Amino acid sequence: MKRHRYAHALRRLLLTSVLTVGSAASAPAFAHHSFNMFALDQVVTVDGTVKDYDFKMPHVWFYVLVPKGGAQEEWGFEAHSPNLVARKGWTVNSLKPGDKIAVTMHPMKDGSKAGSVIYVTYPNGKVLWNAQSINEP
Amino acid sequence: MSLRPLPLAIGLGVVLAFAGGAARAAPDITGMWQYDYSHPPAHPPVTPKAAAIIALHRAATEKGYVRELSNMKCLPTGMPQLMVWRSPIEIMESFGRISIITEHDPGPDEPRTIYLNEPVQPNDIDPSWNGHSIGHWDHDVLVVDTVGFNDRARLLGGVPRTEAAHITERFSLSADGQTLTDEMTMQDPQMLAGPWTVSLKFARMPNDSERLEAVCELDLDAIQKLDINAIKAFDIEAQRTSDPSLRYNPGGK
Repeated sequence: MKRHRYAHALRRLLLTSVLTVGSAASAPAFAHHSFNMFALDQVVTVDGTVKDYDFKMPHVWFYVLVPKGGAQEEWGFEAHSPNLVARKGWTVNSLKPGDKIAVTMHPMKDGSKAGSVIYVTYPNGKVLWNAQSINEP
Repeated sequence: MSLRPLPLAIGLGVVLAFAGGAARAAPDITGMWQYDYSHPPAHPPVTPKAAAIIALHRAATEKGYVRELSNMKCLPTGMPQLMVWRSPIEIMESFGRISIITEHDPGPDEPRTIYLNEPVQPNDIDPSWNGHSIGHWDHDVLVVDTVGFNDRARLLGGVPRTEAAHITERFSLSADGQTLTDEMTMQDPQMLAGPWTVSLKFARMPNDSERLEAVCELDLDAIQKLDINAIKAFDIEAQRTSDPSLRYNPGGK
């Protein structure tokens, strides 16, 4: 019961838009990309196979091979720091090379093959949300 | 004079003593707490000096400036910023002190120590990231006074912090024990035109919540690519790095 109440409270807290994280002084840095680089008004889902999973500080990254026209494109996806996504259910074993997943994300504005994760969907329907996603339920 | 009021007075005294005793028992604020960052403190009453620095910072951000040098170097964020991260804080109490530990990158921040047995601030404080905090319980409210800051961090709202900064806090617990409020008043005459009071809310997490590691790793790649002169007007650490009079050079001589 307590857990449930807390989960509800946290979900409410996390509903906040990342766009409100305005001040650079208070915004945690992104290892490779600023949030400015992601098209936060676009939501795209791609299906693919996990190539690599780095559950590391400062931010979790994973790489997915996405079929395109008989070939494969490699995409990189950024989630939040391990300690923050851990509280959304992520673990060091959440993704393994070879896993089939769908990634729903905000793509890069410049069209390069990377995105800011909103959530990951497994074939069995399980969903892992990134921490602080603006679309989080 | 009648003797009758005496037993009444004794009886009343006993009742008041019990009631007073109950009221004086400090609320238990120990545990893991999640800051509610959905309403970040905004609109600080800044001085023209602070406004100019914040404006430069904002303009640079619009042109792609993302990270402060202090962030790349994994320096602490200090008080009060360490209170408002998206990761939990843990409040612990031991003899004569309350400690607050954080869990975030960048940092790692030092723990905050609030000394409960020091009635006044010492006069020989070495300026530090978290300053020197003394506190006492005023009935159900923990009153904390913090001075002795260095000038390498910021107050809330992106306002630069000087060594003259003075922060007072009133911590109170909701009746159900599930919400902790930190009513924080920041003063810093060079940067704030007047006292700035904000109300920070924290939601209690389950007692068995894990505290996780969040270690900052030095971003050498970003530091090597950084043009320090281009950002030194509004980036505190870049200014230190480029100004010999500030004696930036840890380990030198």
